[in-house]
Amino acid sequence: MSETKLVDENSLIGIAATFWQQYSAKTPQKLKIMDAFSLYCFILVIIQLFYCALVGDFPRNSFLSGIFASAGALIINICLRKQLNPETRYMEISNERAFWEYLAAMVVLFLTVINFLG
Amino acid sequence: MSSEEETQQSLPYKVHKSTLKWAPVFNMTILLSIAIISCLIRVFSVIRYESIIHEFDPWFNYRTTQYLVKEGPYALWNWYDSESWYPLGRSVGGTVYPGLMMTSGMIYWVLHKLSIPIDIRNVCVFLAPIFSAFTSLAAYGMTKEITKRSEAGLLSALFVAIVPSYMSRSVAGSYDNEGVSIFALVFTFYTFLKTVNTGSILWGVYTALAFFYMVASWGGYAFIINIIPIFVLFLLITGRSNSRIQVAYNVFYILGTLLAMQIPFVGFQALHSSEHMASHAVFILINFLNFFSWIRNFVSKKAIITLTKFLIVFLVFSILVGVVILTLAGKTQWSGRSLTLLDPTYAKKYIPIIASVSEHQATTWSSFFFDLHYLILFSPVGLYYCYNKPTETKIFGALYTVLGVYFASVMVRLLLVLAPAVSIMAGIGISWAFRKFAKSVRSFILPKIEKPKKYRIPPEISIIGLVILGYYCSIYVLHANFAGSEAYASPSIILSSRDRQGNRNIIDDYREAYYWLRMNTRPDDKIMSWWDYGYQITGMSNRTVLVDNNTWNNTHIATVGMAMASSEEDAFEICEKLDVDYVLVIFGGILNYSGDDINKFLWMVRIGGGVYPHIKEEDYYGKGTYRVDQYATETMTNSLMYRLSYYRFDEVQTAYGQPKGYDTVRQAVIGVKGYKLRHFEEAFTSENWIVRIFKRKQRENRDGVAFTSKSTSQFTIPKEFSPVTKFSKKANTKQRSTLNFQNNE
Repeated sequence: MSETKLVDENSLIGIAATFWQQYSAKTPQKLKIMDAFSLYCFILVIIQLFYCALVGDFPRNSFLSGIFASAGALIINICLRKQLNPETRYMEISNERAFWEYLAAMVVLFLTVINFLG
Repeated sequence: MSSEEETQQSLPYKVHKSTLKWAPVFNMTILLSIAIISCLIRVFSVIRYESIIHEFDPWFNYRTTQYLVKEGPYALWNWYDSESWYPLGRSVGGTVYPGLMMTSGMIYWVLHKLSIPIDIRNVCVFLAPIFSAFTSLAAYGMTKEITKRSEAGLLSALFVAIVPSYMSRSVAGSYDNEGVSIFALVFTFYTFLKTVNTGSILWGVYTALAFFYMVASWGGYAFIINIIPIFVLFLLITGRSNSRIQVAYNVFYILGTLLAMQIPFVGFQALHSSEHMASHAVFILINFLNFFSWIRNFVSKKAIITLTKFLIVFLVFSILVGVVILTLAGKTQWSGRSLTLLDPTYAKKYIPIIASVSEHQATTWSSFFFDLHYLILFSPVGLYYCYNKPTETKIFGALYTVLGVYFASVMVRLLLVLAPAVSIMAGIGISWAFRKFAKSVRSFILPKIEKPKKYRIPPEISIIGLVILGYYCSIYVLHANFAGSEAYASPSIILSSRDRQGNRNIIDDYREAYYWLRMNTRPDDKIMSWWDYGYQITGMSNRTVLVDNNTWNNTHIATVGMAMASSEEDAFEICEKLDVDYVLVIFGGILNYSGDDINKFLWMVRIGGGVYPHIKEEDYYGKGTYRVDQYATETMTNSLMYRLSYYRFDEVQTAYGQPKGYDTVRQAVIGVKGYKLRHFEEAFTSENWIVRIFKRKQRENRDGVAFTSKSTSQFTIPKEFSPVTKFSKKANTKQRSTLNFQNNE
């Protein structure tokens, strides 16, 4: 019969737990690595915002270039992940070609960031 | 299966093999000839007059390009121009859109490296026609993305190549931002539509780079950065959003905003100004929704309901907090020009300078028809086609047209932004109609392979329809030719008239006067004139001016306006404080030239009165209207503008049968004649009296006990010319952070 559950499934914590379990089971290893990198970029953004709140954003150029570098890397990662994930792929091109386009976007992003660093 | 066999299989009748093979060649040939036509129709003024820079604004761009070519790009970034806005100067590197100058500089550099020594003036004059050829190619690409048919693309390319509205701002010699930026606009839209169609990140990168070029060229990039988020939001609301759109917008937004910040003139405004707020909001929105729909894959159904509730509350809260509070706290501000676009009466009430520019007036029907002609008739057909079986790109085309119509109605200048949209829609509409007619004629003539299932238009009606549409297209081409040769091919700096025998008489007064200034004044003399002529004076005479067409400092312009509107004694005091050596006025009373300073005088009074309240507009009206004859008020006839314009005018007979001193523009004999000027002396008057230059005399000896009128003793010119007054704050927030106060004595 039904077992007693330790955590209520519909509270936010329960949702998080269910999510984590399903996520670990369903996603392939490669996508998990990409997601780890995306999470890292997101944490970088949070850390930079926190630092800015503490100390102020005096060389605003540098602050903005840091934020844009990490946020931009995050967004472009998400775009690549959509293409690589076999469930949600939307273009009929090979994985290598998708990766090459991803690299092109990253190159433009980081060149601009370096120009903006001041 | 070769492409020819594919095409053959898709058609219900037998087509000759050579037709299929030669079709792409026809395509390319027609496209090439369209590009050549668009170049050729713009060079009328070079053939008629000479290769010269037209109008007012292009002279500043030309001078900046000369500086760039001589000193190099780094010098341009750091250039502080002390020859304009004396005594303030102007930081050019931070207040100019460098795309146009950089493009000409690059072309000049490449040509010189290839040992083709073309003068920089010719590069600048012919830049706009060459880029209009590129625009027609980009319009071909954009239409092909919208409809997937090359015949619609060809028609659109033809229409864009010769549409009079675009031609007016890109003739040979009109070296202005729009010449390059309309190409950037259409090209950005083309790459964006390609990204939306394919979903590839690489095309998103190309879109961001094209957008970067657009931001570098023109302030109108705010149109792109608003229309694309509106488009994405529209697709989201109507349920057509998919991964390709999200990828396209994400890549475009991140790279585009970052690249926009590289231009010093835009700088951090890309984040703060209200013109960009829509793009931030839509970016956050679609990524949020994306994230939550991704999480939904992993949790149970009941949890989704909780999550959705949580999401909605969070979103509404953050939008309220974010947008409303930021706007109220004044952290984000609309610039004065953008507010004018939303509320057309805003500028008239608060910022008279913006209201006085003739390009910023509301558009009349006659401008619409003259500038767009039959395209207005056919673009609703194209809109209907986009509405019939909508895909994402068709929705974008329709949205661009509708928004363009709104903005074109607000300001005459923005009719230019509508021109590509209307051309593309008209091209789509006409090609759709042509296709239907041609299908019925073809199925009537050629042997059929399969039975026609659908109702076809009877072939007689199709032939009549084809003839009528072809006639309309040819009328459009004739009209465009007329507009290009008669209406828009005059360099305002050279005028021409015809006498009774039909001989052409060239009126070259402007250049005569500017050259006189260049040759007969000291290099550091300061010239005071109305702001319209500032760029031309610095460009052609190479002298320092007080105010010019950039109009960034309302107080300084108001001071010049006050000087023109005050009596001769007061104006002498003001000129002495401002170190003015020469005063330049434009007078059209002899030649019936209605663009002169007496006609603009009321605007000087209004702008001056906006900052110095002792100048009242009613004082200059005699008997209720603005006049210069015997009923003009004393304030009017004592004003510096009146005195300088009509000095010694009573010695000239201008029209047959009228007494001496008859002003042909105002059509009245002037009221006050035979007066002498005390503090100014006439230095130069051009051949037809159009440009008159007066030198400020030194203060007379033993003048210490001279009487000065109440007006100057009560109101002194402010010590530092602060650029931020309570009137100009809203209009000048852009320039606040880039001003440098340097003393240029």
